[in-house]
Amino acid sequence: MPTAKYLIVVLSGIIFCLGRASFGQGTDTMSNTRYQIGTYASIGASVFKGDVPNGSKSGLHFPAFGFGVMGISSFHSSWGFALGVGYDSRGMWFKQDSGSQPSENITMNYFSIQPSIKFKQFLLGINIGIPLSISYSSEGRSDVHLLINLSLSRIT
Amino acid sequence: MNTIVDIRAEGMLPIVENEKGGLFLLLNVSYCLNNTLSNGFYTIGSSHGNPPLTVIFDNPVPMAQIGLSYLFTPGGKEH
Repeated sequence: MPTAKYLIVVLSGIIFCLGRASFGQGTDTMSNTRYQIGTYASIGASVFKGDVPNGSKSGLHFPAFGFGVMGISSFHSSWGFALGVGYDSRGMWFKQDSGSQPSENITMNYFSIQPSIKFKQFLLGINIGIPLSISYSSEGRSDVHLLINLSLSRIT
Repeated sequence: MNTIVDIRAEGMLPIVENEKGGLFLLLNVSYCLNNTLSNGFYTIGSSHGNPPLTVIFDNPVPMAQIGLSYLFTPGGKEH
């Protein structure tokens, strides 16, 4: 869990620095463009941020990925709107506290809508994930399979 | 499953650019504002809780990603 927090903090810092650097230079490679449209693909990790039950441990889930199309409309040399739509996959990973097994992976897939405000090379906005599917996988003890089936009965 | 809402921040670092478009390096982080599974779920350790079979209702899932984007510029850049 601390690793995940550090990863998110470090990436946030890099993104913030990119925005600051761009602001400081007073230049923007996208500044004179009225419309841009294209594709994107990204990959990374997700992490469970809730309360972990006693005896279990959570960590980074690989991969968390997304791909789709993105459009940017600039109404000013620095400012604009961006909209991305695509597929988004993320998940949670759990294991027994005392060992590597049993472990459980929960993967959730979404149709993603990402409206953002663009400032220079920095986008800030929201992501709306409309559920598409969920999958479970596990390694180790059979009682984990029972827990998965119980979870599925709650979801469906 | 819930419809999720994230706060999302992204940096776009230009790698290659020309009149027709550009290739960008993406760095993004998303912080989930709500729970992914509204009805909760069980996982390892749930069967040992008190009471047994404790349901996990609090389950936001933030993420961090790195990627690439190619954006076309219809009509070329304005100068």
